[in-house]
Amino acid sequence: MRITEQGYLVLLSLAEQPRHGYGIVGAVLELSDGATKLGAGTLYGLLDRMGDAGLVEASGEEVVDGRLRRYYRLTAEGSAAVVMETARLRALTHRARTVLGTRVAFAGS
Amino acid sequence: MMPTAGAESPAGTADTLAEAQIVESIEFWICTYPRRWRQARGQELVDVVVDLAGPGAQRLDPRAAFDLVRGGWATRWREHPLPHTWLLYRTFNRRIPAAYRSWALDDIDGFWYPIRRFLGGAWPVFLIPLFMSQPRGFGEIPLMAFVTYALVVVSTMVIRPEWYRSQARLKHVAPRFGEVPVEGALVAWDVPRERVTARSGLTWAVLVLGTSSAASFVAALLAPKVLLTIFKANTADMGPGFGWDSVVAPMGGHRVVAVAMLLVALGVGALGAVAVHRRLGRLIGQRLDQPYRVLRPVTASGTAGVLFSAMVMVGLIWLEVSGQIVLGLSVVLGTVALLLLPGALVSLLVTRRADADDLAGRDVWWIDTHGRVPRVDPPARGLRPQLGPVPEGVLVQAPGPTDPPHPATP
Repeated sequence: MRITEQGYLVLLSLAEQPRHGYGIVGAVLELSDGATKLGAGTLYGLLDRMGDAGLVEASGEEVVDGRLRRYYRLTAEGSAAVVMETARLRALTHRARTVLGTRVAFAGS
Repeated sequence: MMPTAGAESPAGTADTLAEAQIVESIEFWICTYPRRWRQARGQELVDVVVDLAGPGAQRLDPRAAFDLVRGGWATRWREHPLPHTWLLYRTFNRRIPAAYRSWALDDIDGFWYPIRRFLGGAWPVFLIPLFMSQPRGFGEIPLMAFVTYALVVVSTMVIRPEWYRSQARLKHVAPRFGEVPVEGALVAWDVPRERVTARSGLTWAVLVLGTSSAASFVAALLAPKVLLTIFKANTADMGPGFGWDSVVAPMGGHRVVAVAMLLVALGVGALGAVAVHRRLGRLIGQRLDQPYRVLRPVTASGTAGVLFSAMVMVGLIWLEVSGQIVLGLSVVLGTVALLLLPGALVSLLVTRRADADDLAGRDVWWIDTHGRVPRVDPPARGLRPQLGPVPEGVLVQAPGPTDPPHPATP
């Protein structure tokens, strides 16, 4: 399964701890520095696809204030996938720095 | 001021009302998700959307609504069978692969399934007018052909739709011989056989037979045209033998023949009703216990079927009385209805008088036509969730020699 940016952020949010749907949206918003606000339809599409691919699984549910909270967590495959994707992005960042050279240093100063 | 216990604050009431409104709005938009998906996770999705909308929100903003609609259709698209699998399933009723069983269950339980099933198998019929001897465009296909097709399509919604659904579930949803049963999954099982109660079934039967009988008398008395077949010897150039011509003619004296035919049918039916009365009086008290049966009144689709039949009959009569078609079919149908009506009426009266709440319409039909005590119904084959825990090594068993045959057997 190809991991999109939104999918990567969802996996990252679950790497820390199991979360329910609303919790995932909040964590993704924080991780992306406010740039990615997932809608519920998008979130559950991602969770469905990741569940089919064996990357995430439901880990229990509870009712809070009359609302159903189903928690999701990473599977071992999901943990491996997020680590590999992070390594890939790190390598990409390294290559980008090499290509851009002084311009990145200038932009960062 | 803090709200007192048991009394809700105005702000709390407003929030509750707002939440009820937004939940209603969300439930409307998530209809794009497949039914099984909504059953499994709909509540969870609604609660997340309510949280995301924030406190006090009464409606979904357009972006959130669009996101739900898009997500719903994407889910449908993702879970839909591949085109060739779908085509084989829909057109040739080929058993669907296990990966699509949930989709098939949604499809079969869908409201329009009977029409989908019919059109999937019978679509070539609709091409017949295009291949008639004279080339015709769609605009030149006779109106009657369209009306007939439309009636046939609509009739699939009311003629035994539940039976077709149950057979389709057994074939496409039940696990096959040799599979490992999963707790909670639907598996084929002996289930109580559903029968219509005698009182409910006979009431509707009398209604439709009575309507058909009355309508046929009206047609026989008022229809202006009849189709006559005239036998004649061949002319000299055609060689020896006989031929016949069919001609449309005014009713004339043939009206008497039609009415007499209906009256004779009524008389024969009345004689049959006497026999029916005697058989019911003798056998109704000897009926056996039916341990594998549940009784129910005529369902909504059954009622729709009865009303549809009556409507078709009335439409037919109108065509004959207005002279658009010749008198004929209504007399045939009326004759059948009049043969059955007295017996049905007597059966209804007897079952209403007798203490016969446990009597099925089929029992009455059996007694009326066979003159014997009805047999004990065997259980039917249906689906129910697999009970758990499932012991290790257990597989779905092949059907036994006494199991009723059904399409789900491999």
